[in-house]
Amino acid sequence: MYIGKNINRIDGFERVTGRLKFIADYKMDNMLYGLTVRAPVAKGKLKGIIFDKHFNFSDITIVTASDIKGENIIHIIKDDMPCLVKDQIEYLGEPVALIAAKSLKMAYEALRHIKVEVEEETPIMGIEEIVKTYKREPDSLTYFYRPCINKGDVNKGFDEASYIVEAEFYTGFQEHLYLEPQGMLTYQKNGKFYSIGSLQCPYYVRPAVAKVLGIKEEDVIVIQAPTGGAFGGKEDFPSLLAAHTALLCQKSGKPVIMIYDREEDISFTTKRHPSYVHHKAGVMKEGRIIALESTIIFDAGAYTTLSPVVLSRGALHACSVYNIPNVRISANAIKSNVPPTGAFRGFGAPQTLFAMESFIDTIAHRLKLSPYDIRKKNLIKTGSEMATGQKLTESVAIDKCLDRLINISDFKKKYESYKKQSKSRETETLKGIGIATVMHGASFTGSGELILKSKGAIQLNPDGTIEILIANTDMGQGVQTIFPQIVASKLNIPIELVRCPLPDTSRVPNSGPTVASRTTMIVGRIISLCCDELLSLFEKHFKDSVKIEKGFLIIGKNKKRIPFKKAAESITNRKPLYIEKQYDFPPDQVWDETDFKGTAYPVYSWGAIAVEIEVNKFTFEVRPINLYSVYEIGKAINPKFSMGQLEGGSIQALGYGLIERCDLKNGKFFQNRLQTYIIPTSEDIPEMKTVILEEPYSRGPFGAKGLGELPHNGVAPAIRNAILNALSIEINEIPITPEVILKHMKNRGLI
Amino acid sequence: MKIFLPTNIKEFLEIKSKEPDAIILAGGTDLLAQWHNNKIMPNKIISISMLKNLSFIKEENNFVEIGSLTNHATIESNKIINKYLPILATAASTIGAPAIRNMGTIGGNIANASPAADLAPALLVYDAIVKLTSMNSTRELKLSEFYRGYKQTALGKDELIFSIKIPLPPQGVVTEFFKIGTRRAQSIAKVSLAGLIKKEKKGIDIIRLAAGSVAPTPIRLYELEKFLQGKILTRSVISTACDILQKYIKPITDVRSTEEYRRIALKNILVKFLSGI
Repeated sequence: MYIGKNINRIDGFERVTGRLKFIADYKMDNMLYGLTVRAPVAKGKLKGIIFDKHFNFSDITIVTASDIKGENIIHIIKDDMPCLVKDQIEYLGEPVALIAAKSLKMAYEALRHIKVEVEEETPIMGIEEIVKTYKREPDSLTYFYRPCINKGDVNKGFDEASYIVEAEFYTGFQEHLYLEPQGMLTYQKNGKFYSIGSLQCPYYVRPAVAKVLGIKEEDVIVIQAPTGGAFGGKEDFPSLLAAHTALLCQKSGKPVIMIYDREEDISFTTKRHPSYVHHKAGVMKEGRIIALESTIIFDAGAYTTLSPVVLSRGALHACSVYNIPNVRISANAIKSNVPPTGAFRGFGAPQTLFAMESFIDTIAHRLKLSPYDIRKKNLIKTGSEMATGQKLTESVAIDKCLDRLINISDFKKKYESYKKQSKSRETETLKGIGIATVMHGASFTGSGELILKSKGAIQLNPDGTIEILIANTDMGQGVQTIFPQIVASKLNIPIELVRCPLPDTSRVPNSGPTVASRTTMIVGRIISLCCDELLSLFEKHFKDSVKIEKGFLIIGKNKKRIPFKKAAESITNRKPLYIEKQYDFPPDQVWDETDFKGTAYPVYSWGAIAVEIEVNKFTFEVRPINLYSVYEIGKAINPKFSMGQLEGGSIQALGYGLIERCDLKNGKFFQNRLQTYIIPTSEDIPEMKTVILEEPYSRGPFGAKGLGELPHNGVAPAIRNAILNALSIEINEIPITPEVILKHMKNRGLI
Repeated sequence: MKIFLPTNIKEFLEIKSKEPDAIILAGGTDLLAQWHNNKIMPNKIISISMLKNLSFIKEENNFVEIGSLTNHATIESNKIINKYLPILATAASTIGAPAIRNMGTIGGNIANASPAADLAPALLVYDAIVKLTSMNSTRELKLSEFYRGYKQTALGKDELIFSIKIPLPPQGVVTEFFKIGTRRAQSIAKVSLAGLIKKEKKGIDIIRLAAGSVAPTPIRLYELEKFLQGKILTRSVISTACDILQKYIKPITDVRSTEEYRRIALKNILVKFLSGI
């Protein structure tokens, strides 16, 4: 058994020794280097692309919208984003044309001799401006999606409540800042187009490229290159980049590579949706929340892209882990003139959970209740009904997580003593501690997995080795190691016999995208089903019952032992044996997309987080001292990797809550370089104590549930609540930089 | 692109007199970032990395002299610096990360003339003197006079920063350096303050103050020093000092912080320094 074991990363040695080839390391004969000609304004009409007459463009491949043989559309959810601007510019930096040259230097030189002429129009930008417009003239805005969730009778709840509490919350952009920027290479071979790059979802890229080139999907082959981080940033964007390299490749007949530099990557690729949430709650005297009315706004950027699904998940996590009888949520994904916002670890949940987890502490603060008690009174349990009417049936562990957290963090004592500390004492810092309790729904929302019909396969080779054939990508989280652990454990064979290569769409079936914390839980299940199938094929082959123990097949009642390799040789008959299975969607998982009613997620993972901080009274800097977390994830297949995800995700969330500022200035991201977009370094990381709990999920492989996004959900509100504990100031926006604290202190007349 | 690689100062000065517009490259920690951002390399570069005898720290005639090519890591750990100029060592330790401190030089930190230069406030309160050399002459000027405006210095086109000379500080002074960065390491100052003070019973005997990131150049706060000289640090004196401070700084809102934050944070760390919290 390899489950629960800290198996080292299969690609670890190559990664740490720098031997692994990333897409920027690829070189091909006659390869051209591509660059993007971008729109100079955030909104306007494209009047012309002017190529300097004095510059020799004869060696430069140029592609504009008129060169597109297929459709000028990047296929994502709704086909509204063009591959290249034809007439209308919707964001600053939107691709207008593409060029490629023999060297990057030549390409940059050419780029300097191209001018884009526009007739500028008035853009709408920034969450504050969107909210202002929403409140004043909502009909003037463009909505990509407006789902509502209704449960019980909110007005009746407000009438019965002892108190009504209201607050508004804002969150900003967040840049993924994966180590490796976006990159893609497209070449042609035997009439087919091959796109290889740093990406999460090969089967998203394939149809997108085919559509733009005007060719059949089968004639596009997408291969994942070793990927240096993604965090959702390589979910939809690689479709656009691959379409670009493919167009240049189609026109020039040569391989074309495009590697974004950091500034280009930060400036023009997707970010986390900025958000606004207005909460109004009806609360009983003892702290029971009986009604919640919420308005959610996500800044979707210029095109639909993934915003409807990001918003859905946001709305479905808006009540956090509380059992509220009367709920009305109206959610809005609104268009603005910035690069389309997209997927980012947590996928809408970190925004709405920041709002709700902050809001519950606001309620506690205003009603003079403890953050622990108010949570205890409202937590969901097995049998509770969510806002969508979903009844929770298994693996509900938030209560357990919270109690364990309180225990390891000594929350109650610290909270009371920090609340009483004198604000005026001549000390440099004030202390605070805050908690958050969160969940994350694993896998696609609603009927997503039913529509996906994911297929995965294993291939048993005559030499007894097994290849796992899935479209899911290893972007650092460990798919290439965890899947062999699952297969080797299912089959009781040495892990050395099992490999999980990086996906290549000409070889692997479509097991769906590597998103939504779904890979281990959903695709892991599919691969488990393949293993079951292999066993039954062995039984058919040997015409008797078969078990596998420590690499030996045990056949029949007299327990005949055959080494697995021998058995493989016998069953395969010199031809690899391919076993494919489709995800068996749970029949009782019913979802009504129109009314947002039913089972939103088959199961949830849970987390309780406490952050202890010091606020500097002179500089308003917040320093996290201790970060305690308890996460319940069903089963940690590889505890070391699970810990890596939980701690790494916590740090990313810490940056989101405290320092990662990304402001708009005239339509451009102001902080667009590593020097200016500030993420935590190891010096900024507090002491971390992380506990994993396991409440197995009956349908997960070995009980495993989703895990990757969960740690992004609770850290930011816990920090915010710690600041409330330290300063008694409700700060309802993130990141909470020293400048933000100063602003709030000034507003309250404290400075 | 032409790169010159002189092996001694004379050779450098000859090249520089013929190529006055060539860019001088020392550690490259500022220049490489600038070139990368603009995606344009200069046509002519003189790399001075071979001028080994520009890297030195010595104590002589009541001065500490630091060669312009001395890197930040050396300054951070050097015994002479830590003994006489402790906040210069502290300031050096706050620059970037180890890799940057191994490459970046004191000469470069001054020549780049960033208002956020980490060494500048400490050097200013230590009354640092910049020693410049050209083919025909050598001249010395106070660091506060070396700065001429945003990213501008008094360095002539035919000159090289030879060294930084610092008079040994008076006995019995207390010094402190504060840097508020965007994070705890690898960060550029939003605000910085260096202070040198000697308090006597009858009032302040010596006071020198300098700040970074609150004006087009790092600035010595002479007016404030003049006011504080001889005063006993009462609440009202400190409060007046804060008002004076606000008049002589010109912070801006930029990619890292806001004008308001810079004003208030600098005031607060000044109060902290003066009241000795």
